[in-house]
Amino acid sequence: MASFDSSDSETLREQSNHKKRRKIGHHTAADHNSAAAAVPWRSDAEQRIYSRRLVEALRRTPLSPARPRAAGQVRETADRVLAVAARGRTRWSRAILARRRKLWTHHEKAKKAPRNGLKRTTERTNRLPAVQKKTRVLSRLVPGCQKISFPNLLEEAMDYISALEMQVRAMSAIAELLSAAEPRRPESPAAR
Amino acid sequence: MLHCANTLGDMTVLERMKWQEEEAFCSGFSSVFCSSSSSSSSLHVHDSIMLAAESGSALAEVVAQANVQAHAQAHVSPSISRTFSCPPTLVEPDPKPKPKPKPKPKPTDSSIGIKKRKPDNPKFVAENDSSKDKRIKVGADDGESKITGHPNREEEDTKQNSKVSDYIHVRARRGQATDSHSLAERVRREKISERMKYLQDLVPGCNKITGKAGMLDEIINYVQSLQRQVEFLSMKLAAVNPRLDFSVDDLFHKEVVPACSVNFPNMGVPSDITNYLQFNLPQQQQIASYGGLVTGINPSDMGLRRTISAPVSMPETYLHSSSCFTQTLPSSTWEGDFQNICNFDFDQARSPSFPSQFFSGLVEAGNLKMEM
Repeated sequence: MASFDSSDSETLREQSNHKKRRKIGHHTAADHNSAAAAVPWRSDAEQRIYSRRLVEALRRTPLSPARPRAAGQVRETADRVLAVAARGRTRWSRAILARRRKLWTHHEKAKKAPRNGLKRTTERTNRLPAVQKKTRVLSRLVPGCQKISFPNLLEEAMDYISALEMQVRAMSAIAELLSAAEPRRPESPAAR
Repeated sequence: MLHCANTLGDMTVLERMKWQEEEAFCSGFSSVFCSSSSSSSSLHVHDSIMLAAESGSALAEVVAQANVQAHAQAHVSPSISRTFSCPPTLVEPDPKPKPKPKPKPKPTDSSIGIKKRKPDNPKFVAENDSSKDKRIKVGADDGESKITGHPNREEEDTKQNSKVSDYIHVRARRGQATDSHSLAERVRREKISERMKYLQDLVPGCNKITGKAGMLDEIINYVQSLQRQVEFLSMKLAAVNPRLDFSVDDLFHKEVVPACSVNFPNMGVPSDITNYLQFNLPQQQQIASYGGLVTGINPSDMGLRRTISAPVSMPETYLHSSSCFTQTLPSSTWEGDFQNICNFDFDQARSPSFPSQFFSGLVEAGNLKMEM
């Protein structure tokens, strides 16, 4: 699903690069949409919905016996619930949801790694535009944003940051409630 | 809403026919738009319009279409742009027909692209001084480079917001290059700067930083810190996870203590305990791993120790919280507390000895595992 979307948008972008007159309408429409969509991340209702869904999802996930992986599982669950909450309008959310399906095919990663390494070394020696390096780093941080244009990357980063903030708020609230919910000793009922 | 229908009824047939070419669309939509806001009256307006336009069958068709399509945003949005200026036209139809032809050429203009639109639009001739005039954007905000100097500005804005045109109309500012390349560059740059501004608001502490490189640094740091926070919180949640099962309701209803006291008298059904037995036995292998977890994660140690008494006092939760038991096995204080509370809980129990036997067995098993 994410691959289809990316291919469509990339062909469009290629067309626009070829022609002098760019079809910017798509991007502006997306900009308006995402600028509007960035706001709901801050609402309380959204956070509550996310918390509830996260708790339900965590209940359903089977805890792995090997503890080191449990944190990763929780993290993945949290990310997935967050991506679902994004309602598929943003690229990073689609990439997160597609991550699970691919099940981390390492073949793809192995293939791409040497190519990228070569490119990176030559590019580093040739020119060092700090902005480009940082753009690359940022594109690696935001899931699914490896090959998109700079303005779109900024847009995705915007939405991703608001979503992450909400995720942190919700998860810290849950963790706090859970850890504070234990003192049920008959002697100290007033902890909550 | 109803006054629209009245004015329509007052107009002659000829005038109505004139309207039908361009304005009728607008007025029909406007009347529908007015009426659609109050859905109950829409039918009335529709009927009255139908009655009024005896010969204006086209108008009625338009209105009918508009009524049908009034819900589809795509259809209404291009017309909404016209409706803002339409209500005055209903009252005074005479001066308006002249400005009205302008909405029509818009779709054709939009296909032209990023160029100076002067040669294409006769309406600009009157405003421009010379052929090479570069006009200051009329009514343009600093951040908005896409507004053209159109007389009906609000229509243009709404029109651009609708997805009819694929191209952005850009006007060259005074003293700037009018090359299509540079215009496109400028559009792109302004898009980027607009988004950078948004990001500046999002990322804390970016107010003083100007320049893309610095901003990007801050953004990267912030995203990394947020992701690290999520990692840490997920670790914390994973440690506290077994509590999710029975504390979900408590979380959201915030009735932690009353829930505990309510469940207390209900305990003591032997079937529960037997279920607990069956439930617990297969999970003994988890004991060691959970024990390892407890020793491994220091910050949550305290939290775990404190969670001991809570699950113990709720007999129903025995079914779910077996893993919680196993978690807290290694701590010696737990055993002491546990047995105390166990005795306290099962004071009124039917078979107090039975669970205590079982628990001690569990403890032994746990100890065995730990020694391994």
